[in-house]
Amino acid sequence: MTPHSSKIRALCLIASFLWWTGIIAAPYFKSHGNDVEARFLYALYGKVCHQSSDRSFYLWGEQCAVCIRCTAIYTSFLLGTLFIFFTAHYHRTSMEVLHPGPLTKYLLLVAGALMLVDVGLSFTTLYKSSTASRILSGMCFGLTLSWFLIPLMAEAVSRIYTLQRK
Amino acid sequence: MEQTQYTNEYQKPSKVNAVLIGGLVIGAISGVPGLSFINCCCCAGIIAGGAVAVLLYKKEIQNRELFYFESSDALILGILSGIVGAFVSTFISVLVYLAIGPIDVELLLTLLRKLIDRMESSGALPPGTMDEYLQDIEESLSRGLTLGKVLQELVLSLIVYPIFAMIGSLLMYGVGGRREREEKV
Repeated sequence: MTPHSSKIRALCLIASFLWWTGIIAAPYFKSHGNDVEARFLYALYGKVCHQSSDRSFYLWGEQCAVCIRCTAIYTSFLLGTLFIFFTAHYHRTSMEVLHPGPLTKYLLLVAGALMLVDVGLSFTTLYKSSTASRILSGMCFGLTLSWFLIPLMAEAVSRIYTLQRK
Repeated sequence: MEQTQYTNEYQKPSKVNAVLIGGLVIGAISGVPGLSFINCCCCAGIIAGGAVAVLLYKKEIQNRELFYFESSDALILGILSGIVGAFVSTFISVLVYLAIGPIDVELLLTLLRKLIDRMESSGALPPGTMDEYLQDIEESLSRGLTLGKVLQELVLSLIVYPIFAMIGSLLMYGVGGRREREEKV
C-alpha cells in the first residue's frame, strides 16, 4: 500500500465535495441576495463551462454555476470518489488493487468518446443533444474518470512525499 | 553500495521546457477570444496543455533511456503548466484587449456576427448556438480594462488552471502507457 493513501483519498473526496458544493452554492447565494459570493462563484466556474442558460439546471429560481453536462460529470465524480474512499477503507484494500487497469482505461476512453460524439454532433444540424443524453454521457465520464484518476493521484502524491523524506 | 541513476530524482531531465510549452498552450487557448470557446468543452484546452507537457517530458525521458517517467512527474508537470498557463492567458487577454481597443470593439463584433451568421445559414452551426458566447465577448470587451479586473482574472485562473491541467497530465500519463518503476539498490 502506498503511504498516506487514505489521507490522500480523503483529501480528494473533500476537494471534489467542495467543488460540487460551489455549483449549488452559486444559485443559493444569488437567490438570497449575496451577490458578491454569487458573482465570484459564477466567474470561477465560468472558466470551465459555457454556463448556457438553456442548458443548465435551475435551483431556487437561479441558474446553477455550470451546465447540465458539467453538473453530471462533477456529481458522478464525487460519487465515484466516495465509493473509492469507502471501498478502500472498509475492505482495507490496498490502493494497488484499486489501481486503474486496462479495463478502466478503455471504459474511460469509451465514455470520453461518447461524450465527445454527443457534444460534437450537437454543433451540427444532424443531431441535437437532449438533457438525458447530457446527463448520461456526463455521468459515465465522471464516474470512470474518478475511478481512473484518484488512484493515480494517490500514487503521485505518495511518491512525492517519499522522495521528500529521502 | 551502488546507486543507479534513475533512483536519484535530481538527475532527471529538467521539467522547465515541458512546463513552459504546456503553459503556453493553455494560455494561448484560454487567452485568445475565439479559441477560448474550446474550454467550454469541459476545459479541453487546459487539459490539453497538461497533456502536452507530459508528452514532451516523456519524450525527453525516453531519449535519455535512464529514467522512468512517474506519476509524480505528471502531477508536478500538470500543476506547474496550469500556473504558467494562468499567467500567460491573463497576459494574452490584456494584450488582445489593448490591441482591439484602437480598432473598435463594434467592428470586431460585427465581423464575428457576420461569420456566425454565414455558418448558421450554411447549416454548419445550429441557429442560436453562439448567441450567449457572443454576448459574453461583447460584455467583456465593453466593460473596459482595470487592474482589479486583471487581478481577478489572474486569481480565478490560478485556482482553476492548475487543477484541470493536473487532470490532463495524469490522464495522459495513465492513458499513454505506464512503466513499472524498478527499485535497485
